[in-house]
Amino acid sequence: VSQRGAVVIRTILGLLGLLVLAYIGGHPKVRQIEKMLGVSQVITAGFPFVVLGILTRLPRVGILTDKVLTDLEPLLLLSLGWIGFFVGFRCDAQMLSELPRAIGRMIFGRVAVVFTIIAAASALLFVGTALIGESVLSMTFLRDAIILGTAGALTSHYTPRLLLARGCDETSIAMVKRVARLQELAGIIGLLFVCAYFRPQGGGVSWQLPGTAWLLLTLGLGTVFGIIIYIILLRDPASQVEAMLLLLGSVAFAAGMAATLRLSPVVVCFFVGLLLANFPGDYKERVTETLTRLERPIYLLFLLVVGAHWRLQDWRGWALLAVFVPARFMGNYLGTRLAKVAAHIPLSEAAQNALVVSPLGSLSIAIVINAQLLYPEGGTIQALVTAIVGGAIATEIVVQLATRTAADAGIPDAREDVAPAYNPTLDDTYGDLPALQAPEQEKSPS
Amino acid sequence: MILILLILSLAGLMQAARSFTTGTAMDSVGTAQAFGYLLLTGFFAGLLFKRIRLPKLTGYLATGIIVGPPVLGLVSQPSLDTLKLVSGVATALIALTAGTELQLRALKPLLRSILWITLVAVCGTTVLLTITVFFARPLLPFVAQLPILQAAAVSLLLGVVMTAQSPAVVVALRTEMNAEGPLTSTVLGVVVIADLVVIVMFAIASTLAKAAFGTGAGVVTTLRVLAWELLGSMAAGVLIGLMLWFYLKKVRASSGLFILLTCCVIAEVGRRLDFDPLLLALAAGTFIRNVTSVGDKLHDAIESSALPIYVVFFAVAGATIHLKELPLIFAPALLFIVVRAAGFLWGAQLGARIAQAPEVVRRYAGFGLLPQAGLALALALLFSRTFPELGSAASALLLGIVALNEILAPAIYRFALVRSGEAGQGRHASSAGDH
Repeated sequence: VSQRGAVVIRTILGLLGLLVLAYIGGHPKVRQIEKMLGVSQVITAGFPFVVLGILTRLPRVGILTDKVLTDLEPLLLLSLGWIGFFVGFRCDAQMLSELPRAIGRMIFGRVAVVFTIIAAASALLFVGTALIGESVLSMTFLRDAIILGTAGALTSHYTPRLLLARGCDETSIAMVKRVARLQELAGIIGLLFVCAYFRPQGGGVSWQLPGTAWLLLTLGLGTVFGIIIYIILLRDPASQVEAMLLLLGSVAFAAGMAATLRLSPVVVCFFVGLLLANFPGDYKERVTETLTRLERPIYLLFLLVVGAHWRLQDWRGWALLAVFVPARFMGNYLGTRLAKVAAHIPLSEAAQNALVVSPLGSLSIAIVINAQLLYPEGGTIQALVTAIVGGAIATEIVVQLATRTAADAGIPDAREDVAPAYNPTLDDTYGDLPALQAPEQEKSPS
Repeated sequence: MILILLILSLAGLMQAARSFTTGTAMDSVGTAQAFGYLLLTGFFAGLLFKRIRLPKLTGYLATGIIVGPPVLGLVSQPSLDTLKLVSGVATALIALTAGTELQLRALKPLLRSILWITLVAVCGTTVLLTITVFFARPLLPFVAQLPILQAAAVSLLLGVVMTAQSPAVVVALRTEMNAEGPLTSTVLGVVVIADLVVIVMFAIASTLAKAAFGTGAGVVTTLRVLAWELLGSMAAGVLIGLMLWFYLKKVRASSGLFILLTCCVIAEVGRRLDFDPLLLALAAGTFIRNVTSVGDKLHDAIESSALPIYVVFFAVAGATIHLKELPLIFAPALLFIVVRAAGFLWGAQLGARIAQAPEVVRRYAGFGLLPQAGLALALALLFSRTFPELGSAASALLLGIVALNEILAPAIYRFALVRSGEAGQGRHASSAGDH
């Protein structure tokens, strides 16, 4: 009876907590604050969900137990696939073809510098303090370094929003937006290589193939799913709910298939999204509507599960976080400066600063959580989760401080002039997509 | 043709994924794939079934049966076990929908019909089935060898379990057919009330049977358990209703997600607290519809996001049908199905006649009582757990009956809805049959 009473109390508290979080996350005023401050949902609506995940995972609370987490793993895979699909669906070939030729060099240079500095700083930390029991020359360490470098080198899609908040010119905003998108592409390629050449070990797997074959298999799987889902989406659904069902089922199936083959759901679904974004058809508006409608709920649930998977007691992660965040800023600084000089890209000072202090985005978190699912044992994956999830929050805070310091120093803050130009319908919705669309919305009337 | 090709392509991919694992059971990783696969294939099969004038719901069930472990085995048992979380959420969603349909003021004119049909058809059929089981003992080895008293108690218990109906199927078909009218409302009212009646009757019959077998827990304990399950579920339902009301009134945004999470809590925590999730969600829905002003909002929020859950729920239900048991118990199962159907059809006709219900209710209400699904399965499993001494044959018999009713009855009720003229008369007349 006492056990039942405890469960009742916990349940009521949990429900109340859920209600409060939902109230916070869904309230229009909170979204207004998000928009006004130019902050992402990671630290407003999202952060409480991470905390909820951590709290409900505690043994004393006992809601997200090991079994429940195992049951929720499909949700995690779906979320990863959804994020990958979302990123891929944003990659319009036309947008990429309009880029200056030198931008490829700039992205490569910038990513390479950030990647190298983060990996080198992490290696120094681990060698200097012997935090891990294996050599930094081992394949496991190399794998983890690539994952951390890849996730850390990405720039959040909220970066253009920061520029908007500082009244930057449209050319720079558009350039930063494209840089962010191309960096996502680089992140996906990094994850693709890790999943192909660092295959998870363990029983129950009957296909033994070389790394290159896995790489081609990932591309092939993405293409096959892209074609099948294209045919599915070409059917005109009778209602919005049917459109949602088809997209949800397609992403879940592709993500699940990728996970079954021990591939990355993020990467496979990215290629699916990429193909669908560039195939002809009048389904794109429908897909965008469904993506926009479901992105926030799926992302918040993803953060809840991420919180539950986050092992705070692993102090190596905190040590790594302390090295990772400054290393990333330093890498961003050097990479941006070097890339600008080498590639001669016309970037304003504000745009360069925004790239230097850019926060980590949802794709970075997705990459490291995907790695955690693929390589649950060994290495430093747990520490990487702390570095990236903690880093996402830390960089967001630093960005806010930097933005406000710049504003106090007299840099013109055109927030109030620019904010009304946002399309209110899109900007009030979820995630990265609206933020990225904002400049385009501005341009279209002219 | 494209639909068939798509279904075959998806099956091919599932088969390819299956060949990747070396015989060991696929872990939870396969569940996301199974979820997507059942969702897409079930949906396409539903469209195919609609073209041959069968309910989409039967298409979802047929998908589960064909791709589940007993036939093609494309979806593994561990994946199905994990997907039961979806089933729990779906049950709560369906009950919540049923609750929002129960506008007591609107049901008042039908209340007399509902009560009489419940009394005559539901209670009458229980008695009829109990007598049939008792006299058909030679066909049932697990009852034949029992002393008379124990045989009578087991007969009563089996009679109650076999009587269970399915609000889930009734609600899903009402939505799919966009049906509205006295028949639809009466059937919904009867199956919801019958659900309560069956739960109470099962608790009483179970107590009697335990007493007959000498393993009873005492009348007081049983009453306490029953009161907790019934009254506790209703009270918790009102609490959930209040919470949903607050959310829909004050927050509104992402209401679909909030409702899904609430249903997840109802399904998982409710079970752990020994509440009946169906009753809990039903009470929440009824409370919101009759006490607050957000009934329509809740209904619309569920309708706009529930289809994927329903498709997977019915596909999983199909995949868990124990086909291999059917040949063993086919003859007695067929007998009980016929008796059950006859009891419901005649009982509903008689009850409706006594209540002076409209002609359409008299003629067709019985067909809405035929489907079986979640509650019957739950009671069958509870029966086999409570009386393990009766062996697997008793459980197989009950599951076989549920399986046959699950496959055949939705098509029959769909036919009745079409013949009654209530199909396509609902609020969303323009989108009839969309869902």
